[in-house]
Amino acid sequence: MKIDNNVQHIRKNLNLTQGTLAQNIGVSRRTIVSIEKGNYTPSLMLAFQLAQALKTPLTDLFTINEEDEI
Amino acid sequence: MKKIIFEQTGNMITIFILGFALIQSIVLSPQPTPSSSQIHFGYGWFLLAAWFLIFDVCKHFYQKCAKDGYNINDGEFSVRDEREQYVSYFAMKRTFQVMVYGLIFVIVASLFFSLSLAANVTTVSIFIIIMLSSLLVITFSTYLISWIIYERSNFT
Repeated sequence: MKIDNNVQHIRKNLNLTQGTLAQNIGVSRRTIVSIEKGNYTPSLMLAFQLAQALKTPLTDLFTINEEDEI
Repeated sequence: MKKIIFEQTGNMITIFILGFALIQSIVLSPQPTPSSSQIHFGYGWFLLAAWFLIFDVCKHFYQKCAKDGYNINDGEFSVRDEREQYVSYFAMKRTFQVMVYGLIFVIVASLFFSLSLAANVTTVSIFIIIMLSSLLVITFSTYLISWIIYERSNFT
């Protein structure tokens, strides 16, 4: 099971740079890059912070991809 | 990543100078007798004190200017967010493993060296200082390399 996210898509729609988003939620830009690439799954707290910063419900931001399930 | 490179480079330089100062003291000090012993401090210790001062100023300057989560009190364990906390944890785990194996090697190597024909108190002391200093440099390098590798790896 894998968690997909729409962070990049929503961020671009809001005309936010990775740096600005990172600054808004107090993480490094590299962390935003890793989340967008799917290399890092954030904690629930960080996921909520992202959802709040992107003005998007958490369920729209992160979705469970069940296709990868064995 | 820059903060780890900065801190570990500084730590490695510290160990080089410390090792040099210790060895210099051993070489300069006269052999102890049953009634007296003396330690002569060479210029290596002044070099070490000067380096501590320079490094401390650099740390304050870095903390103030870089704003990448570097904290003087935390040093190489400074983290900016939860992902860096993971990276730091994994790097620390790898470093611990290397350090334990390294210490075992140093203990065994010291035993064999102290039993060798060329061994006297001075050479054994210098040998142990070189081995322990090298181990510390390897430990710092391991943490640095592990940090860089884990920083670029997949944590999903």
